[in-house]
Amino acid sequence: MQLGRPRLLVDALLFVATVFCTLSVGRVLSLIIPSEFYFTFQSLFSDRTPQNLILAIFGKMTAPFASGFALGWFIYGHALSAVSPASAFSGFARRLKIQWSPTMFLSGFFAAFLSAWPIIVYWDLLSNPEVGHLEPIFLILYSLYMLGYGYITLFGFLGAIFIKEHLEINQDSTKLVSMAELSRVGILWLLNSGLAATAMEVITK
Amino acid sequence: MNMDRLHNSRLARCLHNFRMAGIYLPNRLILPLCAGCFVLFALFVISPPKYNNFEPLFTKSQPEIKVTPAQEESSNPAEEKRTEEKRKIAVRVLGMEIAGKIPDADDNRRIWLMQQRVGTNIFIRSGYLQSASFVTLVTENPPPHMQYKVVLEDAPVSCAYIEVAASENNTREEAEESDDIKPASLHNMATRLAISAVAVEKFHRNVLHRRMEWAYAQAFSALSFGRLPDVSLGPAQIRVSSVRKIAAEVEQTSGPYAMLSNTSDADLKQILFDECKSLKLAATMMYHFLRKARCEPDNEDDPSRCLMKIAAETYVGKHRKTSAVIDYSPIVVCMAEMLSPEGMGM
Repeated sequence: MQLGRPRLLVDALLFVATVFCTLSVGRVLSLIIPSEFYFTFQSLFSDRTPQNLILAIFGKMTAPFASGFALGWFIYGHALSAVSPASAFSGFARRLKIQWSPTMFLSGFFAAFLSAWPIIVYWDLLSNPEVGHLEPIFLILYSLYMLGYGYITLFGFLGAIFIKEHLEINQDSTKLVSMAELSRVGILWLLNSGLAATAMEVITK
Repeated sequence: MNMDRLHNSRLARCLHNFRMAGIYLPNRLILPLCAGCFVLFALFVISPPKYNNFEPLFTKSQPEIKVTPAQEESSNPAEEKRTEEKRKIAVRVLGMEIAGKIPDADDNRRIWLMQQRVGTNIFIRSGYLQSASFVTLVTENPPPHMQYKVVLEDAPVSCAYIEVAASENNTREEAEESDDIKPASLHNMATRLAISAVAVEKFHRNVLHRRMEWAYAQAFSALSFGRLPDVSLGPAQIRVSSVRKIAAEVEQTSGPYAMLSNTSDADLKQILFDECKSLKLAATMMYHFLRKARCEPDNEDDPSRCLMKIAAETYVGKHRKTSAVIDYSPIVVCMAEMLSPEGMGM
C-alpha cells in the first residue's frame, strides 16, 4: 500500500468497501435480530413499537463499528507490517489524518443515508400516519443520527489501530491514535446518536 | 504476452467503452462495487424471521404459577401442593407451501397493516376524511389486533353515490352474473372503489401537474374546435375514449348509467374537471367493471375482493400481474375495504 501524500480527501476504494461492508453487516444483523429489537426509528415506519431503545441503538451501531474496526485492523496490518515501521510511520500518520479518517466518517454517514433513503423519499406514503406531520423534525434528527453513524465508523477504525498499536511492542513513544482522540470521537458518537434516538422516542411516544 | 491478452480481452474493451462514454471509474473500484452490490442483493433475497409473539425473545421468562381449584379445595394440609409452570416460547410465522410455491416468512397481518397505513396516508392527503384513528385491540392471545379506521366526509360519499335502477330492485339477474353478490353491494362497492381510486390519483398529482393538464386540455380543445385530447383527465384521471366505450357497451341511460346519457366533448369536459362529477363518473365506471368482472375458480381471494381487484385494474388500465405488497390494485382494494361498513362507518 502506498503511503505517499494523498491527492484526494477521500480514498475511493476504502469508501466503497466500508459502505458495502456496513450495509451487509447491518442486513445480516437485521436477519438475526427481530425488527422490534433492532430498528431505532421503528415507530416512524412500523405499527409495532420498538421494544428496547438501548438495545436497538447498540444493535444498529454494531454494523458500522464492526466494519470500521475490521478495516482499521486490516489497513494497519497491511500498511505497517509490510515495510519497516519506522520509515512508514510518518506517511501512515499523515494519510490517516488527511485521508482515511475523513473517508471512514463519510462512509458511515453515507451508509446511514443509503439505509434510510426509501423512508426519506417515500415519507408521504410509508410513514406512520400518526407522525406524518413530523417530517422536518425527522430529517433533522436523522441527520444527527447519520453523524452518529459516521462517528461510530471512525471510532471502530481508530479503535482497531489503537488496540493493534498497544498489542505490538513499539519502542517509539509516539502513537498514531491517542486515548484523547478516541474518547473525543466516542463522545461525539454518543452525543449525536443518543440525542437523535432519545428525541425521536420522546416525540413519537 | 499476458498483458497483451489482458488488453485485448472483452473486459478491457468493455472498460474502454465505459470510459469513452465519459464515465471514469478506476479499475480497482469496479470489482469492489460489483462484489458489494452482489453481496447486498444476495442478502436482501433472504427474508428475516417473523414471530407471532416476540415478547419472550429477549425478556427474562417469568414462570406463571397456577393453582387449580381442586388443589385449593384440598383440605389435607399434609398433601403437597402441585404447581404449574408456564414459560412462553416465541413461535415463527411461516406460510404453507402451495403448488411448489415456497412462501417467505410473510405475516399476512403485517402486510395488511402496511397496506392500510399506505391507504390512510393517501386518504389523509385526499381531503375526503372527517377523522382517522389507529385502533389497538388487546386480546388474551398476543399479538394485539391493530387496524386503521377512517371516517369519510359526507361530500365525497354523496358525489360518488350512484342510483339503483328500478329494475335492479326486482331482479337478481346481476347477482347471478357476478358470483352471487347483490346489486346493492355492487353499488356500494363501486362508490367505495371510486372514492379510493380518485384519492390515489389526487395523491399522485400536485397542483402544478393538474394546472398543466388543464392548460393542455384547454389549448387542445381551442385548436381542434372543441374536441378533447384522449388522455387521462381530471381528478379521477379518466380517458374520454373509455367513457365512450362504456356508453356504447351498455346502451342504457337510466339508473347507475344515467351519467352516460350525453357524452359530447363539451359535457365530458365539464364532468372531468369537476371533482364531484368525476367521482360520480368514476363510480359509474367502477360499477360497470364490477358487473363485467369474472373471478377465476382457483382464485384465493374472497369473491368481493377479487371483483374489486379486477375492477380497479381495469379502471387504471393495468394488465400485468403482480405480487407486490404496495401496488395500485392491492392498495385501492384495501382502501375500499377500509371504507366498508364492517371496517368503518360510511
